[in-house]
Amino acid sequence: MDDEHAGPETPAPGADDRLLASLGDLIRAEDAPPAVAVELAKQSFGLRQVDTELAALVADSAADAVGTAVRAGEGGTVPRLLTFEFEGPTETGEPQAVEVEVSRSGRYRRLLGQLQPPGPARIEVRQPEGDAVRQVDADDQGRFVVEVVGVGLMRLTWYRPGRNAITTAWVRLD
Amino acid sequence: MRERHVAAGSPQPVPAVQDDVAHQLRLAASGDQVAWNDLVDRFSPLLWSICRHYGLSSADASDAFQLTWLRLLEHIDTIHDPARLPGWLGTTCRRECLSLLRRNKRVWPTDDDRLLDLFSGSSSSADQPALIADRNARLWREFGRLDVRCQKILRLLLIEPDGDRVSYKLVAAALDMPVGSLGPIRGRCLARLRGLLDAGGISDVLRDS
Repeated sequence: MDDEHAGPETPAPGADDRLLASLGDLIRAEDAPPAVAVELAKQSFGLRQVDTELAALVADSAADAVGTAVRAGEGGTVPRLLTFEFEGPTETGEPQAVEVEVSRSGRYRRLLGQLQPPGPARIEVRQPEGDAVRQVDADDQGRFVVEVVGVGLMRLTWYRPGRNAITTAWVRLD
Repeated sequence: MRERHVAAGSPQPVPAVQDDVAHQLRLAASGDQVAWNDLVDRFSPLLWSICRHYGLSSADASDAFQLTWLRLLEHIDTIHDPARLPGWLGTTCRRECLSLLRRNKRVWPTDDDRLLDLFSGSSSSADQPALIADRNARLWREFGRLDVRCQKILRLLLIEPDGDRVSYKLVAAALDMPVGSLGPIRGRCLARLRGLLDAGGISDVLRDS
């Protein structure tokens, strides 16, 4: 590296190498990522969805967004409201979005969703630690309910007839 | 094109490493699980260190770490310039860590790092020869006497056996600092550690093997 001889008291280079090597070993032993976390990161490759558009999280009532005075969900009783929006060009020019209300249901969470523009769709729920992909249907008004979702990371994908599938960014349900 | 010599003392470019990462990124984007695994192996120690750097608990660090990788999957097709990957990963990881901290309202005072380290226990293995174990224990103790900022920076910069430009870019982005400032800080912190070791009369133990 270019900075090894940074101070006037710097001893012989060999001593520096030795210090770096020993300290590096100790730090690596102390700070190594847990094997299970690394394994999960590798497995997450299977969660990749090609041919879907990404809808970004544009509003989160729990995140103290600018201009939002309420801290919904903080006490655990007020539902959290998430809005995801796909900003790219759409076939019809209308914005594609989903609003999701997250409420507590014992140790699980319940999702109440509204697609924009309204209309029927198939909804998929994915969780990295969950097993299979779950599916629900949105009604003609674009409303849907997912009764049981585990806490942790989650994403939704919606498919409408004749349109590109849209998937939300990953979000953490607390 | 004429061959040019890099001036002595200036940073050496590491095209091989950069190309390697770029190659793996392209392969992963085209659906290659093995290339993805390589990327995860390559960057996991640094990303995990960053999560710990921000004082996240083990559970929260796992979340921020996992989210960073999921975000990369979300955007893997849109990172057109693979040289940006280290910076992108560092920035994303920082954002996820800060977001968890805000959400949990559990910001640890930075000094708590030492406490965390105490509780996480020393992992020096018992089957090491006693001399080395003793030397390492003393080195670790002096390291713990450095100011917290130095400890944190050195943990990030020394987590890899041969930290290269790619790692430095990632760390700089993760800390929101200019990449050029890391080398001098590292040098100063190491000099301070050496001072502590000298004062403790134990610098000699690091010169023999």
